[in-house]
Amino acid sequence: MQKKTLLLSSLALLGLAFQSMLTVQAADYPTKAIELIVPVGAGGGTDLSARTFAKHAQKLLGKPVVIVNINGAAGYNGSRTVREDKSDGYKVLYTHQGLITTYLTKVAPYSYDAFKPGPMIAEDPSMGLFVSSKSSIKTIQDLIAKTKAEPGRLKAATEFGGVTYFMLLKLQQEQGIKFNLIDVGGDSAKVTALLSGFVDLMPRVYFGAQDYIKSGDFVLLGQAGATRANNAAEVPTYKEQGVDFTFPAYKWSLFFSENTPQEVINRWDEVARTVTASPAFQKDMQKLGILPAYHTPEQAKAAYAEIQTLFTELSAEDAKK
Amino acid sequence: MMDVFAQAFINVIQPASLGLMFLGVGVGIIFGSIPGLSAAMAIALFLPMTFSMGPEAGMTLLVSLYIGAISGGLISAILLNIPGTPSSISTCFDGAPMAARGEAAKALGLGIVFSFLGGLLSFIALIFIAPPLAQLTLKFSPIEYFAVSIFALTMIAALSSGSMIKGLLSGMLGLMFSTVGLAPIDGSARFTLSIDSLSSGFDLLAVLIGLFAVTEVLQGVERTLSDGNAKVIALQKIRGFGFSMAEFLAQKWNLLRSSLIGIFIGILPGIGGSTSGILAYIAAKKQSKHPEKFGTGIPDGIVASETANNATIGGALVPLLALGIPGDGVTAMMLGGFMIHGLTPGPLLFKTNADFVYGIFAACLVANVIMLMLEFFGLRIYVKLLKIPKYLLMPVIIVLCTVGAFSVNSQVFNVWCILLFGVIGYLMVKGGLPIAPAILGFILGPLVETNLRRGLMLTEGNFLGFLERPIALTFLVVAVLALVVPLFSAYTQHRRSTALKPA
Repeated sequence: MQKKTLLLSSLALLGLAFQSMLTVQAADYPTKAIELIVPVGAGGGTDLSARTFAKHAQKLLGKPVVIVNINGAAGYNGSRTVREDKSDGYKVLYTHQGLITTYLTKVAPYSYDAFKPGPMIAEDPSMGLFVSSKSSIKTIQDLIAKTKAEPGRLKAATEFGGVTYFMLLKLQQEQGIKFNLIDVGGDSAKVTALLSGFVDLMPRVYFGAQDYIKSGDFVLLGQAGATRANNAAEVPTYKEQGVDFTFPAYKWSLFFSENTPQEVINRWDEVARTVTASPAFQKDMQKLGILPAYHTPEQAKAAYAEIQTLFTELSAEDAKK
Repeated sequence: MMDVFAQAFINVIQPASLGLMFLGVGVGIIFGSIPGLSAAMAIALFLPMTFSMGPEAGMTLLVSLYIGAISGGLISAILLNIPGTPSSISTCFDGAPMAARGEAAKALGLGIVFSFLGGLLSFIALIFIAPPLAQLTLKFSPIEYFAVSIFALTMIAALSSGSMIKGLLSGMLGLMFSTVGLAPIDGSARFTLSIDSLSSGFDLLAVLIGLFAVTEVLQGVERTLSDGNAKVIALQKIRGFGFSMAEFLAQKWNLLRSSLIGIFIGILPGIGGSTSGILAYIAAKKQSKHPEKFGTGIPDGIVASETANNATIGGALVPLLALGIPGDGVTAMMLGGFMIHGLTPGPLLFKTNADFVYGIFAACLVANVIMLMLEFFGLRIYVKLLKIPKYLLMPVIIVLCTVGAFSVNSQVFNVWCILLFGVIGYLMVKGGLPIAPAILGFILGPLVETNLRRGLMLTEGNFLGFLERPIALTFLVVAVLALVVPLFSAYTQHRRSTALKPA
């Protein structure tokens, strides 16, 4: 018994010592280069916004912030690397609600709440529905009417288990309509699919697709924010057009391994607040069509909780059918 | 158009720009020639550097890296029998035997010149007919991709010189390994043995390094141990590019055919450029009057492979520039490079940023010439690689492969993969199984499966729907013929020979 107590108390002491060691380290954090883990390949919106953020953040942190692309398994490879890392704040995850979708599709055994949340950095609320200009559908009402008349006929491009998939589920369930959901792959594959006409509908963010509207290839049926997004100010919302359909924005945040000291997270919170407020960062992000959007770690956590509740309900409802 | 183009040329041949291109092509060649480092890695590494440059300078650098790296793969393919990049797998087939005969310089010379010509033809196609060519991209739905992939799979039979059974066995092994990881579309885990690292499956580059590089090193060790001193290959004197005008002219149709295959594969975003060399090699072999000589070290094989893989570059830029659609990892990063400079990729890029697009065209043409120059002078240095004793060279290769495998994804898991596939490759060679069909199976397996499932979604589960589309139908029919005709002719030959025998 005594032995056991001794063992326990020494373990506790060891734990305390370890904890204080981390705190000491945290006080002069960072002392070396930090890896910002991006769970997708180089070149896309997530990667480019992470690079932009890193460029500005390292000036404030005084140490290099290095982008490390760890793609594969829909982002699970990258998130796992951060989660399993020793919690000293030198491997930080930069991602969006893909963290939730990989959990709901059972690719990853955990969701956003397996991490200590960091500040939110950016968002893109300009999710919209695109149709071909050759289509008879010109408005969101046309789309709903046509789908009601012929349920399951219209082919909607998506990526099963991805964010656009949940967007289409929400539209289907709220409006009582049904699409023929076609998995075509990522954003550029969706554009190809709609251009070549083998799908009728494509959910996508506005930026990067606006030239297809100008060229007369695509028609955008509106955006799914509650109000017009700053990066798509010329696009009316569905609400404005009399259809009550909204969908949460892409939200990019920092995520830390579970036992990361609070000091480290506070430091990043401060850095994120300063960076997102700086005109230079805002100007760089504008080129990517992504909006700087600072939120505290608590606010970020609440936002993801809301998205997870929504997505869980959507997939539960879908499974019933 | 011409004055915009002329202006773009003048910009590109400014000293600063030229310097950047020499740097890009040079670094690209190094990345390409080192097994384990690929074109994609070179571009990923330099991408952040381009952010601080102007858009033209940035793109010039990326294009130079791309051209250098795809071509550089031929150096190790020929001299070491290890493909430097996935694109140069089929360069090994005839390049290595030719080098083993002491004609390394000739093999390199052919590879270099035809890399240049394949690239040149594809850039000409890109410059003059990109918009109509891009329409081809739009003709391909998952159904067509499925048909093309099935067609390409039947080519495994053509790759298996000697025993058909062994070729098919090897191809099956490749297909099997490609099923590990998350299933396409639904993402359910297959054969992951509850190992987290397996959930993304085996990485192509890791499999490639394992099957080719590690296997080759293991064999090299075995040879050295048994021979005592590995024989020194006598090098012939190098004149020019090491081959004659007659030898060059004999390849004109091969050049044309392989370029077309390369451009075609490049234009289709769903296929992946690494297969273009292999497919062109097979096509050359099938069209040849002496198919049995393929694999023994003839110019035709090197020409087909190297022409096609560089022609893929121009092809891959077609949908990127004309439609804003990146075909692979490399062009996806270039797209990122556009965006960071505030250029919107899409159908209007030609209209709104013509000077930029023509800048890229000019950069392609000039970088291609720089590639030719650097490799022409490099040729004399590369062949010296053969003089390095194997006991020094092999460990260095293994180190580079390990670094390359790790840097694929910053995961140590990939390092174990190259070891695993090295042993598998070694056992395959010992068992007389050819390795190339396994790689083809590994690349094509996921393409066939994913596009079959996507295609079935489009036809609402109806297989017959696949036959209603002319392009798909054509490829499927040719695929069936490719399988049936050799079997049939083998059968009739067999009957004739048995009939001739007295009962």
